[in-house]
Amino acid sequence: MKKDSPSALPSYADFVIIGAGIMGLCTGLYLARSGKEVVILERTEPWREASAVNAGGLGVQNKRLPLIPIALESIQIWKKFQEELGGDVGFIQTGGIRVATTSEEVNRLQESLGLQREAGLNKQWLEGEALKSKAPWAGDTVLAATYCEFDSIANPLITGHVLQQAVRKLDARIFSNTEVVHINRNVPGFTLNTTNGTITCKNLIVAAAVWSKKLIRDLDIDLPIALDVNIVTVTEPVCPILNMLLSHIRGILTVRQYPNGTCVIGGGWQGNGSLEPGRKEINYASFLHNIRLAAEIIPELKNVNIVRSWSGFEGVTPDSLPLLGRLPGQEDAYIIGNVRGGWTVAPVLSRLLVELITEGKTSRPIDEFDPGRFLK
Amino acid sequence: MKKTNFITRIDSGLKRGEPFEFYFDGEPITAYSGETVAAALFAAGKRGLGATNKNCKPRGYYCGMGVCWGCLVIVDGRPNIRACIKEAQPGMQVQTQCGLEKVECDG
Amino acid sequence: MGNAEVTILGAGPAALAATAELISHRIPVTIIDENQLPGGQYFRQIPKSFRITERTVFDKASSDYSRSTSLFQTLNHPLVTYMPNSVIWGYFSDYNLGYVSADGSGEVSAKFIIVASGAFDRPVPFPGWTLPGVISAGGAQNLMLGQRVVPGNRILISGNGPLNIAVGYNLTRAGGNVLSILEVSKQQIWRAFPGVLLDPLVLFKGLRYQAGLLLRAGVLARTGRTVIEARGDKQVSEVVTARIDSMGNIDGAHTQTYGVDLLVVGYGLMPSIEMIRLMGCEQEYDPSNKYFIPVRSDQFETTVPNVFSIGDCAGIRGVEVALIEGRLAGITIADRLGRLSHTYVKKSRSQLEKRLHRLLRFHASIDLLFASPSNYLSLLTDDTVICRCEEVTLGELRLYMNQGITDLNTLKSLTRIGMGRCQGRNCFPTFAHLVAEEQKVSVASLKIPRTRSPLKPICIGDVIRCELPECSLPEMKQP
Repeated sequence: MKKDSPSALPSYADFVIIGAGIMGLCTGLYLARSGKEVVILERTEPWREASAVNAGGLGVQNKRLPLIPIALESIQIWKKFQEELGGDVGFIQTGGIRVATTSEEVNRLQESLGLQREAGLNKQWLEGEALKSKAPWAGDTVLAATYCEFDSIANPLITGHVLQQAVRKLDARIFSNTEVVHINRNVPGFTLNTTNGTITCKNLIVAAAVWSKKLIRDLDIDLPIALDVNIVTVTEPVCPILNMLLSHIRGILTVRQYPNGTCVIGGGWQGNGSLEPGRKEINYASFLHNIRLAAEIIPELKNVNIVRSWSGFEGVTPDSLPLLGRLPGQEDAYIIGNVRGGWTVAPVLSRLLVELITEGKTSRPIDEFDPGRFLK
Repeated sequence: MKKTNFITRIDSGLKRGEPFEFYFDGEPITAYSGETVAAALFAAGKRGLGATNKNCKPRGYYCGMGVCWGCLVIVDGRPNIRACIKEAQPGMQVQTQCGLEKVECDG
Repeated sequence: MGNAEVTILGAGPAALAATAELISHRIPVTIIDENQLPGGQYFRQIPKSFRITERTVFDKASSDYSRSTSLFQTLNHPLVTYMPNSVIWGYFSDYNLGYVSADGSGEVSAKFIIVASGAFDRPVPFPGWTLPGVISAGGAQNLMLGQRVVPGNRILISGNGPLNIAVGYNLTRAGGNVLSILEVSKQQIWRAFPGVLLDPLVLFKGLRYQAGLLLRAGVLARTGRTVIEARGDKQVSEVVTARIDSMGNIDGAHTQTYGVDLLVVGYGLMPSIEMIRLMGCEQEYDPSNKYFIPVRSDQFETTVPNVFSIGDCAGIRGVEVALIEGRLAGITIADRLGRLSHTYVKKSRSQLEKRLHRLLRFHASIDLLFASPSNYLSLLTDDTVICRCEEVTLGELRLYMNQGITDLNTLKSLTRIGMGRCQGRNCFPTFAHLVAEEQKVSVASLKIPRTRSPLKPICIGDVIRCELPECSLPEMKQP
């Protein structure tokens, strides 16, 4: 299956999606499945940003409450991705442990137990002997934890290839090195000026993560999408230390170990970077804080070598909930993404968007994710 | 103490300290202070230091500079130690590392 | 650790020469090196617990010995902060270096940085190259000269470049039985004239090695041949050799097999420029030597102001060039710090540069003498391991390339090539050539993935043993 060459941009498509990360590709997948004509425009190469460089955790219990039912459903879709898409995405339902290391954090964890149960997620409380037995790798700094059987992991390195192939198989087209320079509002529809030519479309879906902010200004819309610069650190392959997804009640750490033995640490202390000129770097102090915390919680990591580390961009909203739905004041322009944990919830979010587009209604309420909520 | 039937240490113009023994998969190996594990093992005619993780293929010393990380052995229970860097010590327990740890490989 | 005026990375000849020059002008120097003992590769030392009773061929010639000894002495100077066993793992804007040792980690901030990170053996994959008993030329030298161990008895040496002759000579003197030395290039001697006469001492040394080999072992390098396969069960027991032409094509019709217990593979050296790339310095591809080198001014400054690159890490030119470049870099920096008179600078620069240019012309001639194919892709079979760490074969790469996937980053993600502990050092040159061929572009035009920290694998326990710097806590995410 050959890649599309940049020179082949068509003059028109019913649906144009901007962004070929997980949000754009999943949306393209579901749209194409419902029979729509889809073109996906990608600024650089598909699967190059957060989707490709995130730490791979598919956590349920580390999501904000409104996203819990969506995360649960997404895990079930992830579980079937290999069969459905015809390729390995490295999905493993490892189960997950969320830890607390101070008494304040223990209180927050307790609170989450009740709140998440109301949202439909039952977790197991772990302390003392039960904690030692479930998590023998946990250091003394861990005072309590909750165990969730649905927390899982998948492999960002290989998922992109599988998704792209599935999308292309449905005759949706992906164009690399095609940056949208300006969005022009026709009525109806849009004309997009790109670095690879011009394309007109009836419906526009912005799935461009943190780059969406600048794009939608062309439609006189200003949404609060802030830039997070997340550091991911990978170790050499080592013997099994950790057999589940580790997360922290404060959202400042995730660790998982892949079948090949490498441990991937997603840290909360931030790297350095900005959209212009787009350079991302790890930050000395942040890097140290991230791995120190990981080593405190999993002491066996102290004997392990770090082999790679990098920073990735994530677009986040003030309430850490997604932007999902019609762009304010637009009938036929939509936005999806910009949520912490997009890697987990992308399958259901994109399906919901496609339901909205094709049926006019969604199988779950999405009002809480309405982009217009920030303009009131 | 197994000896090879050819010269393995250059002695001319050189005085080493007192020899001692460390163990390689339980077998006593002669070494001299300052020698790396890899050098002492070469001198004892040992080349295979372990096997790979994915395909269980035999591996040993290659670059000698600590750059290729292919000469990994387990030293006193701790894996992922480069034999070309690690100095041999009396009584040290060195084991071949097959993949991620000490496992019997038929490869 | 704190602030340094000048920080030097490495402790080989270039680094030591720069140190000596700088302290002679009373400029404090911090010198940081990975190894336990200074000297790098060229001035590799034996362990402290070994004693030389009599200088032999395995020690340096008298002139080398005395000057390396005096260079080592500079590390005791009060103006020198010498940090052995310390790995520089990260570079942080601007001019901050993260280091780690078994004692813990820290940061060094420098006004001037001199990178003298040396070189490593060019990796050339071929079937069986990962077998125990197949070692690099540099690896063989380390064992013989640094550890005084003979790594084998029935030995074949194969590859390209003058180092292999020295290796063969040393192995023979050590009592090893060198069966043959195979040299890829045709050794067309006339190509090297007259430049090869510009450094008579080095030329003489080279000829002496070859003569010694011939007289002692009856071995003369066989040109236009190379090893195409190493075979063995748990270690190498035989090798297959064949003719190779100047384009790198293998003639499989006239193979020869040798029974060996050691195969030394030497295809020349490549600059270790990861540090330079990490700092954001520009690099350029040197097509005649087929490696990347830093872009430097004629004062050896890289494209990042106050960052210098000297010695083999700026291009493989040998120990004499390294020593001169070290001195020149020291002079440049001392001058910038206002410590030198204009006349001193002019005079010493002129003397050193004159000598340097002679040596460079000499090395260019040697390079011509050993001119080799642009790549060795013809040696690869589908089963050949290209990435030793992750065991990625040519076949696995081709699986994706045949689907039309030719992007470096995508191929890397899908196969994990270059993601192992050696961080791509042993697979990237071959991988780059394969991708360039597939994309039908030159290697020089490839978009090379950025070098990232950590520069070398670093132990978590060691790196967190430090004074943790202040860092604002990330905001607590909502329930």
